[in-house]
Amino acid sequence: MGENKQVLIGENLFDMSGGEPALIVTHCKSCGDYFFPKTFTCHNPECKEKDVEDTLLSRRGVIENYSIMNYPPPPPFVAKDPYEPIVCAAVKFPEGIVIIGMMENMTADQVKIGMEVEVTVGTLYTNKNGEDIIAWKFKAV
Amino acid sequence: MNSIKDKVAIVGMGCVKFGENWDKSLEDMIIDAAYEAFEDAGVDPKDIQAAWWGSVFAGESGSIMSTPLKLAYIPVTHVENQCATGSEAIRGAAYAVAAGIYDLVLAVGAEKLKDTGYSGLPQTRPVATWSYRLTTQTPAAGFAMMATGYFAKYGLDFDEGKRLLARIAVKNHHNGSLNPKAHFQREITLEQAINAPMIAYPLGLYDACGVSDGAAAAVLCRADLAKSFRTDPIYIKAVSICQGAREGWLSQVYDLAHVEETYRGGIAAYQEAGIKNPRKEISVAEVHDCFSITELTIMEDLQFSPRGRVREDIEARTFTLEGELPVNTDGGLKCFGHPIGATGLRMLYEVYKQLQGKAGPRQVKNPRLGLTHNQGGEPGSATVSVLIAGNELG
Repeated sequence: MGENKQVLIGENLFDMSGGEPALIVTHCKSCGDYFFPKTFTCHNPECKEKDVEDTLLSRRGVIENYSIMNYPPPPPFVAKDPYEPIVCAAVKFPEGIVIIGMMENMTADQVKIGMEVEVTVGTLYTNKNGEDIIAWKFKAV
Repeated sequence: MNSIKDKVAIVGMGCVKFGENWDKSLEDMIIDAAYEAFEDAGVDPKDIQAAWWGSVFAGESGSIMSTPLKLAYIPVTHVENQCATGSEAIRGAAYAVAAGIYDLVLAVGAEKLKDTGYSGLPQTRPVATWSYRLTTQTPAAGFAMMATGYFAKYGLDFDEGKRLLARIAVKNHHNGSLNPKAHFQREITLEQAINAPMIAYPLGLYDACGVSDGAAAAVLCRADLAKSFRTDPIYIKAVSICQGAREGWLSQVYDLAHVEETYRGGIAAYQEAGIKNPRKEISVAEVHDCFSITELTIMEDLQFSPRGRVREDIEARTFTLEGELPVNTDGGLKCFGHPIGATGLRMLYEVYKQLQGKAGPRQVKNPRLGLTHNQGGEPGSATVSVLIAGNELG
């Protein structure tokens, strides 16, 4: 991350208090499902309870699936010029939840299903006002 | 719960040529589609008692359609239900007739996308609330993950998977080459499809549908009145909508290799239509091939192929015009693009013509039942429609 003003893409997405970023999730104590971003109730349609608690997700997960965005995402995303294809991945965490995000510093020929990755926080893109838009990302362990 | 089976008939349909219709306004396309349907049914627009209008981007209210068609002072309902919008217009019209309120109604769907600069799906929020993802992701990448998911689950390597998807694109382009109303009317080769520029790995250019303008329309009536309009009406056997309520793109039990809403929507429609073996009983199907991988998974979700075994059917040419169960005989979204409000009605136009034996060089042999399917949104929160129609009562 450089000198630019940093703007979080959303509130209450991750916690930095332990020094390393961890995603804030909501856990249903009844059915066991996890939700991200955090929420106020259980959204599993088969669960009638609403006894939920916020918790921090394991920092490491495994790439369950991926794609490479050979063309840039639509606005509001601002692509670098020249555009470098971005790897996005669906990462499964030990808790069972799968979260999609962009990979940090990973090229198309490096990504593999089953690869262990770690949650990180980084610049998704720099907007037209020169602000870095900050979000969760994943990086190889 | 009642069934709509055999209560409503389609007696007229119209469909414009889809494409880059720079020389036609949205209203021009609505008029062309609706008047083809009026003439096909042999009805005067003044005989229409109520109308349903499907569009996502054309604007608010039924007046967008009632004004060009001069449908004054009758009820016109604007509907939107993602990619199933056109099918939702048919469903509203069909239910109103089945309820016994109206005898003769109209359903129209249209979208004019090219001059909006639209390229794919617009993004509205930075973080999708229930879907564990940033929306700074191309829609193609979402479906691409279904492709890598399917390949991984069923042990296909990249070359095998890519070739399988290419066969779907080649088939649909072949069908489109036989259809003067298609946007894209050229054949492609397997090599072209496999070697095309990558859009979102492993999906290339020919794995994605295009962006087109289009409109289509249907005139529906009470089934017992149908023969007074024409000798070969088509009867609605089922219209299902299936909406997911799970938490979005990925639930904790989702395998990334199917879409549960399509599976469940299919079951609901088969039950309503009294179909026990869809593979054997459905004669022709128009399904939502927004991407080649989508058509692939739909074949399993609609139970045309056993789970994990669609490859055998694709390689056996089961879904080609000459095959056992021809799919996307008009060229599909692949050749018609996806002017969202029009798509469901455009699919029904093909099924209607096929069931009447009027599909020309694309005609399948002795069809009895046809199916249309739309799939919008994301697995877990998808909106799916499945409509079944037949050319005989009973």
